[in-house]
Amino acid sequence: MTSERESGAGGRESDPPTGGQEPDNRQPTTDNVNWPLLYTAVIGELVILVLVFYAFTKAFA
Amino acid sequence: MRPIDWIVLIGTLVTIVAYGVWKGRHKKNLDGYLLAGRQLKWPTIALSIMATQASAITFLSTPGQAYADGMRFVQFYLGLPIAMVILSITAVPIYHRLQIFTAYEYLETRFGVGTRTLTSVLFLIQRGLSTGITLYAPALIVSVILGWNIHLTNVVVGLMVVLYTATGGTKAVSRTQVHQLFIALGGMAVALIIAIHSLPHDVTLVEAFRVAGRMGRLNAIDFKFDLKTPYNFWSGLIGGTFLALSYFGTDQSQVQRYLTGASITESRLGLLINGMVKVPMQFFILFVGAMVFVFYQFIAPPLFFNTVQRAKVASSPYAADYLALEARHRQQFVEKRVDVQTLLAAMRAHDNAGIDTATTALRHVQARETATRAAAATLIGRTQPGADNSDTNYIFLTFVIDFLPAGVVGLVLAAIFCAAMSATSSGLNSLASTTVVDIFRRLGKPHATDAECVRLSKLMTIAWGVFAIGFAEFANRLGSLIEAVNKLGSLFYGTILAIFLLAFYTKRVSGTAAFFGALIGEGAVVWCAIATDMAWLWWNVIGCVVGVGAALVVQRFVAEQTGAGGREPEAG
Repeated sequence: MTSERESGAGGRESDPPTGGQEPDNRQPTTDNVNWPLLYTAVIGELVILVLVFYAFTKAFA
Repeated sequence: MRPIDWIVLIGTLVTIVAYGVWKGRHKKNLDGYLLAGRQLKWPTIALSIMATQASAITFLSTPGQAYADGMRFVQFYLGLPIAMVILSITAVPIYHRLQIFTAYEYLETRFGVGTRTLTSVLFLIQRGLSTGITLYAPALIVSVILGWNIHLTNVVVGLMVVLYTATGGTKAVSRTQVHQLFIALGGMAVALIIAIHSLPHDVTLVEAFRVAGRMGRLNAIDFKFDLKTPYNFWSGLIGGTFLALSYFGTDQSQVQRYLTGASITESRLGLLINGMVKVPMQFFILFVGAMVFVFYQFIAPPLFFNTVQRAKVASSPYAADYLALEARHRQQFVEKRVDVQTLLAAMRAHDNAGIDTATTALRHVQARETATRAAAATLIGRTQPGADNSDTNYIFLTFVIDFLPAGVVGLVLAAIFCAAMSATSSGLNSLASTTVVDIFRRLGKPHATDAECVRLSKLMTIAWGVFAIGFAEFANRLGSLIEAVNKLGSLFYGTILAIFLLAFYTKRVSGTAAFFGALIGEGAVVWCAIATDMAWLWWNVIGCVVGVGAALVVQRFVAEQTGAGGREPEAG
């Protein structure tokens, strides 16, 4: 899994609430999520659902 | 309703309200009150996003939609996963970086206060009315089928929502939504199981599917491109993407859900899980409706599911005409049941020619039955001009009340009211946030303290609750409610999305150009709605494309200094 760096206040899990303060862009957050893979999974699931629904429509029509 | 149903219903609702009040009992600053301290994790965010969209209308009207029109409505949601990905990449990091309370605050950083205020006002109008419909829908349907007082139901449910939303703020809303969604889906699952179990014992599940499919109720996907067809693959994918981009990316009732995320990661995951779960969830709810349709192929359904309208026409000068239609409908049901049995026999014998013959006969009698139902609706419209002559919203609950066992009826009703409360609470919460942050604090009292803003937020939650209850008291004749609420949103969403797209992706368009582009885009949508028969999902595309295009053209002619990103002079 690759990681993606995110910048901005509120990006850190341990950050306390900072409503109304200036965002701190100097401390990017790292996470262990492979975002491109996750986006592909969401779109891939949509494609599969459309195919399954189409097969469902045709199978019982 | 039997005593056990009342116990389940009241017990569930009181527990949910008490839980909401308890969860939100701690004293908060504005960040804590409006955004739950920006500490929520993705499971809560995902469920809160889903519960906000899935109102009682979803659980009442959608199965009726499948009963009357088949499952093609599922295509309406096909653009949603695409929109979730786009928003995760674009909007979420920007919103988090700016640490904003509302989506409209971001517009000021780009276009100035005029565009922020215009968009906020468009949102307040649209969401205020939609929240009224959200509250009104279950009260109307329950009042018709169970004879409850609609005004009292509106007020009681509305006040319960206001109680925990005003006291607990966003944290109470999000925490209760998790439980409300599970109760709502649990109620639907029980209804589905009982619908399938209530089929004749010699009819298997696959046979039930095949009957529903042959009668056009499992028509989930239609690839034919037609601008006038409300639901097909293309309108769902293209129009649905624009609608979902606008709804989830610019509607404060949704943006506020993922602004509560402890990090960009939590917010993104919340949106993406919603993108993965929403389409199957809607398929499931529509499937419940398709199975209710199959159930009514073996048990005679009423000619018209709205009992109040039925009683009114029975005591009108058209009573004899209606009785004649009922007799015709009964005869058609008998014919249809024979044809269904013939179809089942042909299926069991693997007789393809027999299946085709029986299907043709079945579709023929189905068409005549549909014509009879349309004639009844016309008669009701003639009897009571202005009355709601669509019974789509009453089909599912009629089935629940007439055929589900004691206790389960209470559970399904609790599920429906939980859904109503969850969507209403998000609506009120976001209306209060926008009123306080974008109107009061920005235009009225810029130096208001946190304590003042929290106090006003609570008051605004109550005020918008009163508005929603008041609107619900006057709403009527909205046809299929799930369509009504989405049509209403589609009047504004394209234009609002245009403003946000200009903000996200253009550097030289000024606030003035964006403002006039939005007005022109909104004019185009209104023209499409009034003067054309274009299907409403496309209004989202028109509003967005015309809005963006007009802003780019206006920009060429506007003689103003755009400066750093085209900001207007500061106001207030």
